[in-house]
Amino acid sequence: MITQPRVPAIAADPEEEQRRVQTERLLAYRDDGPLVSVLKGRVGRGLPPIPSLLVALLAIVALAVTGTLSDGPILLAPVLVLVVLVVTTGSRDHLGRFDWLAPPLLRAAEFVTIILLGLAEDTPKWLLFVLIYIVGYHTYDTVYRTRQGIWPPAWLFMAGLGWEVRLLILAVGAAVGQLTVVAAILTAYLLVLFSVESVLSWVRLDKASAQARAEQDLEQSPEEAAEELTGRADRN
Amino acid sequence: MTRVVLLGSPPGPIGSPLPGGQHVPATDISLASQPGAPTVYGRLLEQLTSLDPQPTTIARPGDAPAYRAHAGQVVESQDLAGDLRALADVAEGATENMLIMPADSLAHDELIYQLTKAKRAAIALIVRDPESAAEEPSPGEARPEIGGETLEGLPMRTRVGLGRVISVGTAYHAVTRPNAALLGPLHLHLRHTALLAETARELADLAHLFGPEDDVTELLVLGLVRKGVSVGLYERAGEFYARVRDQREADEAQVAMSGYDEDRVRLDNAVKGADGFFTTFFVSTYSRFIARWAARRGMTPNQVTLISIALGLLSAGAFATGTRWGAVAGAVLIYFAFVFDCVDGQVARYARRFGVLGAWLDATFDRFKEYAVFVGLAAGATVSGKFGDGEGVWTLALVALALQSGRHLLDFSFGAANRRKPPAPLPTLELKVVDDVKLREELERRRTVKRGGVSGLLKFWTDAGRFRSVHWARKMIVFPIGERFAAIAITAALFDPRVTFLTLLIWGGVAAIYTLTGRLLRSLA
Repeated sequence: MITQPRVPAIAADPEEEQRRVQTERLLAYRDDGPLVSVLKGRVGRGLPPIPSLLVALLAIVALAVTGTLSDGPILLAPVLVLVVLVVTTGSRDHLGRFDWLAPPLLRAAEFVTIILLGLAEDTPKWLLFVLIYIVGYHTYDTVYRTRQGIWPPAWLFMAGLGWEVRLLILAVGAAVGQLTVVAAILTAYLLVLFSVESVLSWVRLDKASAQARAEQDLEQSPEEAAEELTGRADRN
Repeated sequence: MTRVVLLGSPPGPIGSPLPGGQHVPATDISLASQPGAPTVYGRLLEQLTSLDPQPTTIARPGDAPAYRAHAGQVVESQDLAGDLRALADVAEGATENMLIMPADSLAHDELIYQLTKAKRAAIALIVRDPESAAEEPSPGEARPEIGGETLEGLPMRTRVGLGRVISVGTAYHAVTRPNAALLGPLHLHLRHTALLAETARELADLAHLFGPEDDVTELLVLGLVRKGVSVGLYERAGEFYARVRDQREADEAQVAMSGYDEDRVRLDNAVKGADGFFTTFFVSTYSRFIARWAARRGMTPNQVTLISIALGLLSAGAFATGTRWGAVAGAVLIYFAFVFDCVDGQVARYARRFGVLGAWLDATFDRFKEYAVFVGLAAGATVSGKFGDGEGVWTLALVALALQSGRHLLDFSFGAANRRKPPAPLPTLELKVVDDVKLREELERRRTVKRGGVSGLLKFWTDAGRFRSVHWARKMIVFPIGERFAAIAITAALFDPRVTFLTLLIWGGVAAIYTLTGRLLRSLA
């Protein structure tokens, strides 16, 4: 459970380096799991992320409002749509001008699907609340760590199962009518994994580097940062 | 650590010589009313020792022995060209950020601290012409000039914009509409030190063109600006700074300085700028005094964070009772949880105690508190029995959680993608060119290009921030943390959890659409 700063092999051009690091952050925010990484490089270029995500989200919403999500195997549908359309987009470089939408859209799709499955199966909402909180916690933690220039280890994203395997597990659970049990086990597992790893890593990092970039505000929005720098509001 | 360079030879005055004749080295000016009655130079070294215990002082041969009596290295230089070359030598070998200060500086610690911790890669201390504050762009073309006016005894030959130095003049270089003077201190990030060295050498070769009133930092900033470096501005916000060239000036400056409250400035600087409406007007007005109180009692920022977490959990517990009094108590507790959440950062900045763990604790438990209160409210709704089995309210809580996490991720992702775009390079200009007309024409041309289409719309919206009402409305619409906590407290105390969640969903939804629209437009522009 060591978090290491990623040192580039060669000191590249600073602008190029900046682009590489920020893109890597964007990809880390997606929180892709084992399935995406297995398919990476085996399915060609992959689909463009934003159109695929928008189509998948529309399909999920359509399934929900038409009341199709009742019971049984049909509950696999939203997850399958999302996984089929989006799983190959992880291979894309995410350099497009709208590709910053990919992580929030992906997380939105994940949360919406969890809520829809839970509503269809009458799973206790507090359990889903904890599940969404811990998945969200992992994302926040990824953001905060990369802002300090340190990265969660690659195995954590695999062990965290990624959005795709988490959703597949929940969908199977819902399809066989055991969503509550499956969600409870998944939530407990993720809760232990993400919180223990996170706390240990931060305590270790705190001891290792008393300074790092401790002064920076981890929660600042991009507009706030610009405003602080120039003393001028530039919000939208 | 920082590499500190002190400039031992101040510039001469414009026109008539100093009333007292020759300048007095900073080693010979005493500060009788300061603790220990140090000399100006001795005090400055003392202040800078934590940054660089061995600073380099560039001095005229006649003054050098006096400077040598102190810590640090002394480099002798005959003239302005020598000063610039000596500085280039230091900058070339620099492996850290650089702070350049006149040796005759009388400054508050807080000013030096603020300069060295600024986020700008290059930042200079300036003073604006008080008369140009309300300046309107006058009709007709302004001509570049070599002005003879002074501010605090230094030539007013710099043009500054909102956030950076636009153009610098000297006895040789003319500047359009000068509105500020450079006071001397200049802080540079490591990545600019090589360019500084190169620029200083080029300037040294041009030294015969400059006048006796041209200060070394003025020339350096001129060089940096003309090479396309964005040099940020630092204006005193209640900190004291003056250059004292003789005993009389020092005595006057000490009297003036005794009227300043450095601790208060330090406290004010500890309050984060750019906060939302609720935070600014209902928390930041007094939270700094709690911060000072806590810091003086030796509390660490992390202890304050723990108080805030405890208050947040108590608030969630109070909401979970599902009673009216529980809701009112929860509202008060969540307000104070938020106040202490602001205080922890202020304690860290005021006491200058930063830690990686503290930054993480603060950020992580902000989320935790907020979502714990959601749980409290939903549990309270279930317990109260007013909402059936409470599952409906829980669903609202669930959606509110998803929405808020999604909005945060939207911020984070856009921020990361935004940082990929290299900033548009600033126009450059040869050092030898006399006036800055070309520089300004290029800036004007860019402004015109940007005026059309989506960029024009964005610029219009940015400029609308001049109006206070628009400024605050824009801040409120994005539903920042202060507004969220206030909305929870007020709606929960007055109404019921369902109203609270609906408020969060509607306001949060509007905020999401607003920020998304702006960012989509900016991605297009």
